[in-house]
Amino acid sequence: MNAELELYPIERILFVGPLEDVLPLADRAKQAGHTPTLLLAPAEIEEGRKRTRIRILGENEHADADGFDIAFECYTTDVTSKYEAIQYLEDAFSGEAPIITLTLTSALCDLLTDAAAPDRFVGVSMLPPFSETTLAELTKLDSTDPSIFATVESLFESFGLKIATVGDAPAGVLVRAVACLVNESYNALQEGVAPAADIDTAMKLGVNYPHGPIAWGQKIGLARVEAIMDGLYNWFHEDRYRATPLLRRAARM
Amino acid sequence: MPTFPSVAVLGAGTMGSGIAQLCAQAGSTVFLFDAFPDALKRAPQKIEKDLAKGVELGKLSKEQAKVIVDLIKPINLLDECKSADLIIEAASESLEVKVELFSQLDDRVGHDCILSTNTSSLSVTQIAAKTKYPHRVCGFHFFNPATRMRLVEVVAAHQTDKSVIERIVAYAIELEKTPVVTKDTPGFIVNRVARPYYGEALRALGEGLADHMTIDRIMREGGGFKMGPFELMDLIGIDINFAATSSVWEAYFRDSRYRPHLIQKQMVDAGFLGKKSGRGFYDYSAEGK
Ligand SMILES: NC(=O)c1ccc[n+]([C@@H]2O[C@H](COP(=O)([O-])OP(=O)(O)OC[C@H]3O[C@@H](n4cnc5c(N)ncnc54)[C@H](O)[C@@H]3O)[C@@H](O)[C@H]2O)c1
Repeated sequence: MNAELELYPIERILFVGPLEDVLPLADRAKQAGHTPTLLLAPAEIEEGRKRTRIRILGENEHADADGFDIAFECYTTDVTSKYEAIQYLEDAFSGEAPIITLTLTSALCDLLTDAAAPDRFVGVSMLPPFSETTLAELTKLDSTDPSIFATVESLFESFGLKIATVGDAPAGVLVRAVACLVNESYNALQEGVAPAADIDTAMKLGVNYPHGPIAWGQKIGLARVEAIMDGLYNWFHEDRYRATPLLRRAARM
Repeated sequence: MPTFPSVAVLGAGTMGSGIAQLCAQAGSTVFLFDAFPDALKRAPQKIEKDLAKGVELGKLSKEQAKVIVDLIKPINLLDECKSADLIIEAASESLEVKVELFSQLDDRVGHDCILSTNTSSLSVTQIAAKTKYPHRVCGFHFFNPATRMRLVEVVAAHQTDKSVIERIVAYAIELEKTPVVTKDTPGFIVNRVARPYYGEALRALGEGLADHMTIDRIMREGGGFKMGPFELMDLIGIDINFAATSSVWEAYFRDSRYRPHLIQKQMVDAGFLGKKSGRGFYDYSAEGK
């Protein structure tokens, strides 16, 4: 990190996304001494208020840059909400406050094709579930403001996460590899190579994987793995990233 | 009494010597065969050394170690193993070599003798098809080092009898392994499902997303993998890893999912094979350290 860069404040953080994903991140923020607030889909507000005492914006409340130092947009499977959230934050956050966006399903540049000020965005890829995440892969564009990037780095460090800087592609390095491992294990399962439990045993004992890939997929969320594979497929247009039909079916059950 | 009182291990290299030791540890008499006398001389020395380490660590007594060593009988002629109940072929990874060995044994061994192969990448179905009694052929796939790695894949070829698989599974348990039964598909379970770990890392490197050290660190610190993909390729041997990828890719009719990467091939072409050659993705020479 460049010591001469002036960092933006990171105290009041607005998390935007599905409750399941923003909640563990907001908890980390709170533990780090920040003040998190959640912006949820109207349908999730009530459930959110039951599950946490962290502030949740009401349906008619608006987020603006006066109230927040930094925003973190966390949608993955719901692409429509993702684009809407990015646009909403750009409009609501006038000024130059940093905006972080999760890049599990799209490259950063892809998310920002219509952005008015792409230089204030930083992309992040992290392995779900976010309650167990240990490392954040950060992505910037050539135009990203260095102070904004350094600010986001310091934010993730304050969450107790290790940091890596990676180039721009959907799902960074780790999530891409793990999603492909899960997809390949479903591919083997689909072919009847072995039952799920045996595939997991084989990968844990044969190559020391921390989790069996089938169980790992369930931990991450199969709908999310599917969305990551589709994101990779859309980006590369390569057969290699086609989601296995069995994975698609399992994701819908 | 072990399920197979008498076992023959063909090929006394890295895998063969470890497998022979395991079988002897389980109480089987082991005929150890190799086409090259040198290998046949080295294997028992290697086994003795490993057992001596075990004695030092208090895992077994000197006497027990001697019993195990005495159970291993190096043989110079294939004919000398015709009384074996189980053949475990662990010779070089070549269809011709394996088929030739099995066809020499077809009519010499007893009818109940099982012919198993430790192949990592060849089709067991194809090997079985070239024998006289394909129903008794299966894969018995150990991991390196065979004495330490708990997993074995028991591979059922298209022709394999169910009872053959059951007996191999029972024996694997006697060898203190965890067997998983797998269908005979390219790479079986492990060498197939693991492909993306290397493949996506190589592509991320090739796309310039990060350098190999950063990718290794991300996989370890973020994913909980014991070793990053590049360290692991260096340890396995980049040539071996490239061959495994190429063979799964070819066997799946060049499905792009398994496609090897130019980076691997160029490392192999350059002779940068990993730890064993002193240089791979990392430098292992004296100056590199
Ligand atoms: N090394 C591994 O990590 C590993 C893991 C699992 C399976 N395998 C498989 O195990 C087998 C052996 O691999 P390895 O690593 O031990 O190789 P290796 O080169 O160490 O040993 C092979 C041995 O086979 C002998 N050999 C060659 N032709 C022969 C013949 N016609 N008859 C008898 N012996 C012959 C060689 O002299 C050599 O000693 C291969 O099929 C390989 O794919 C290897």
